[in-house]
Amino acid sequence: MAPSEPPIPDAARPAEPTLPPGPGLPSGPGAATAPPGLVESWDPTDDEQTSEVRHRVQWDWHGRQSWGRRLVAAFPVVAAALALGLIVHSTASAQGAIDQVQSVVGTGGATLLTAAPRLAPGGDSPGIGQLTDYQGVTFSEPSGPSRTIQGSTSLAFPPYVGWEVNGSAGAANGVAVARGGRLHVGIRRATPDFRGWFVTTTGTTPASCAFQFSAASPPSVAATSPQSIGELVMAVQTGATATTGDINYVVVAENVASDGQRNLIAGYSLGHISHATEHILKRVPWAPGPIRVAIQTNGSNRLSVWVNGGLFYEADDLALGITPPLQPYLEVQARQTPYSVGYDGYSSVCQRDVVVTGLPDGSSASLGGRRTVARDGSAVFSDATTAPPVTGSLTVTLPGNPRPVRFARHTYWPGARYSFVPGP
Amino acid sequence: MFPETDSPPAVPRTRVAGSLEELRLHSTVYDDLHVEARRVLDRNPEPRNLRDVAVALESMGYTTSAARARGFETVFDLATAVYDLTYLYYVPQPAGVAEERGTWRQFAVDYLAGSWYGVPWIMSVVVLFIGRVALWSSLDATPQVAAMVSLAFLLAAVMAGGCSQMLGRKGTFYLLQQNFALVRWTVSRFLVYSVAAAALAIALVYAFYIVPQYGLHLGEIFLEFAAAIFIFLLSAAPLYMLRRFYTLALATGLALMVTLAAAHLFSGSSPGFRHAQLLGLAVGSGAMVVIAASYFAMRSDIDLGGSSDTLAIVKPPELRVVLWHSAPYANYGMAYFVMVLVGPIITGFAYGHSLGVDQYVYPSTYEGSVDLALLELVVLLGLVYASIERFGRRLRPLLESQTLDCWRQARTALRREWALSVSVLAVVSGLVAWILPGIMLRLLPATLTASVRTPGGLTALEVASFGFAIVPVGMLCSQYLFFLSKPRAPVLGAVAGAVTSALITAVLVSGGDLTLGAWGLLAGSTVYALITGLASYRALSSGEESFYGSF
Repeated sequence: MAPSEPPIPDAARPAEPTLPPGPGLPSGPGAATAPPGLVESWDPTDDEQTSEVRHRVQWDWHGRQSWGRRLVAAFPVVAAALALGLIVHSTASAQGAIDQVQSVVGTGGATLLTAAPRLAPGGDSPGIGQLTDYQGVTFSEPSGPSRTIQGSTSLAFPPYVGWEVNGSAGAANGVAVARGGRLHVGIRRATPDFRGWFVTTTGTTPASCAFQFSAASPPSVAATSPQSIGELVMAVQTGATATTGDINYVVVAENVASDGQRNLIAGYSLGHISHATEHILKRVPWAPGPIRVAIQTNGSNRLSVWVNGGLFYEADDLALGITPPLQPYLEVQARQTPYSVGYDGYSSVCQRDVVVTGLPDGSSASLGGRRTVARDGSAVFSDATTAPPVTGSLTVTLPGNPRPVRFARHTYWPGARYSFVPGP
Repeated sequence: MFPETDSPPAVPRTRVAGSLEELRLHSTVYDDLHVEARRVLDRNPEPRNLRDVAVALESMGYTTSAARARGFETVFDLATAVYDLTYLYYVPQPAGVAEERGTWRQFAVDYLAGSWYGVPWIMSVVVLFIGRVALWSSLDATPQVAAMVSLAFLLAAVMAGGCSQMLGRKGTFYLLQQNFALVRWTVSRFLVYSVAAAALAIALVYAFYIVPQYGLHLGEIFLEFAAAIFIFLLSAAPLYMLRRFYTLALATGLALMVTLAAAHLFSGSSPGFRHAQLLGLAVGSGAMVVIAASYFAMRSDIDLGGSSDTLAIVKPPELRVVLWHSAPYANYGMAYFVMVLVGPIITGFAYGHSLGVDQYVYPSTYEGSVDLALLELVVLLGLVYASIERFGRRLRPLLESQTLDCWRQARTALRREWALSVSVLAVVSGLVAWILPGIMLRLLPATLTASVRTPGGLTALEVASFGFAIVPVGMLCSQYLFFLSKPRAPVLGAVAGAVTSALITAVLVSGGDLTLGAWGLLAGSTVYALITGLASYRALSSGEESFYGSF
């Protein structure tokens, strides 16, 4: 806000001090026709005293209280009570903070602003999600208990707007919770066959976008049975399932066996209502560690999968049968073991560059070992939509200032837009 | 003591008292006329002619019917009788030895006096840049907190602006009559009603916009700052009314020191929301200092003399009538602040839209340019005050030297006065708007002017400079109209200016270029100046009628 208040317009002050004693002040509109009581102030018996003499005052209050007078007199009490009631009610019924604009703090008071996915006030998560609700999601806001959605088998995932929870494990055995900056999806108790639990979006993402998942290394399987297996599953499914019954999807999964062996799989499934047929396209042994996956598909014949920044699988002669638009699934699968996986973030990436706007011309910006010079107020870090997000410190050097502005460590997803706010 | 208009006539209506001798036969009427003569002198210690006495009698409530109740055909007939008696009670006034001052020295004195109005604001800006925190700002605030403080400031300034104007009008009205009982009556009631109205407004915005849109934590910041800023702005209003500029400066300085100390003490290791909340407490602490200063100033200036032997019986006016008569001034004060502040708010909404959220986001680079332009009011405020002081000094002698049958000369002189003052102010404002941005960019540290060097920043600064430069012209013209008790045109001007500013800003920034928002301010202030300018010219063109009509 303006650090300075415009001075109170002294216009309302009539220039009375310059008026010598005389007819007095302009007395305001209507005073000439006002009732005598309005202009009577001092008893005329005092007129032998000069007006500088202080008087003891005896008030001659008005007589009978009319309804008008009562209403005017009651206003302060009624207004104060109403204000207090509104504040107490709003405070009691609201929960949590909603920062729809995220900021990255820099040195010298500078800040980077960007839109954040919506979070619902009061812990609820109603409504259909928009594409912006699925961009740069970091699960930094703790989730509340899942709630049933009327007319749906899925559960809402408050306060994340446009996300829901479901799966074959059932609500009693599946768990999805955002805590400590990570989305934990798990199966509580071991089941004889494969059961899954997932968090997905209620809205859809166009097929032109890339689906980027970031997850922690899946943990080891606690059960000792050789049949026990746990899976971190990142899938992209048709958004038309609800209307067509098709459960066609592409999937990238890291499975962990009870003996510690890990495999990374890319494939797709085709099915209707239930019992989809899985087609494995690539399977390789995999080492434990954090994993970042980008999936891009047109839903019909093309599929590209990048893992940790490298191309893992690519084909354009497939028969996927996945009708766009699409939905991402952040999922866990497990058999004969309780199992839980953790997601660091998800983003529907529809633009290829990271752009920082609001920079003075001639500024330069550095991120992840790359440097770019601002033009027309914008610094652009060109990249692909499937490039992994860069986690690091952005540095901005302003013209005429040798000390660069260094921003806090942050994850920059491709397609993100930031607005530079200079420090004072 | 007033004649009851429905009381029986003291002398038969068919007979009009022809002389004092005849009146002496009717002792009741004769005694009453003595009383009225003393009351006339109480209002006007030196009535110069029959017209002055008639004006005083009318201001005391006399109408033709009331005069007839005294046995006179008209108020002028009553004035003739009363005028003959005034010499009995006339007390020669101590001849005020006018301090001889040269024109330029007088101008300098007036200019400096006018500049005192901006002292709290100027001191705040200076301390803000030195201490990073001032009475309602913090340079360390996060953008989210800045958005809350910004919205809180708008609401608090609008509400406090309305109350200050009402207080300035009615409080000064009684103060200059030295009717201290009614000054206290007015101030206390206006403060109570304003606080109640502001509390309701803040609660409504908090419940129906801030919490649903921004959540509870930011809502708490809004609530705290809205209350603290409102209290601070309102706390200084009595000092403005009493023209206690030195006290105001002293209290503001002390408040700033308290704020700085409290902010330093509270928030050394408390980042984020906690920092902002504690800062709000610091602002509130600063406001307390000004409240104390206002209270003691009121006590000392309008002491009712509890130990005095003389007793005055005061019948207070009807509160609802006083509120009703003051309402135009409140509307003006509110509309003025909306006109000045609505542009950045709308720009903030457009900024939020460009970031993908449909809510207000503090547009810091735009604000940086516009706030820099706002500093030119430091130079121009004194000029407005000097102009209106000069007008006040010239009007009375002018009207004294011009009798009513020489109205042409009086009107010409008033028109000339208007044209001279307004044109001088307009030219100086234009020069300041043209020159000052360059000077500020050259003199101020580069870190303070970073926002101007962003794309479009310089244009925003230049356009906003001219936008703010026109505001003092509107203020001066509004002063003329308030002087003549004609508040309608200033209210219309300020409201039209606010609407124009809002609409033009909204249209221009809808394309995404926020720097165009400054044109909205320019359009709004132009409309404000045009409306008040035309109305004040018209009022002064019949100045003597307006002047006497204002009583």
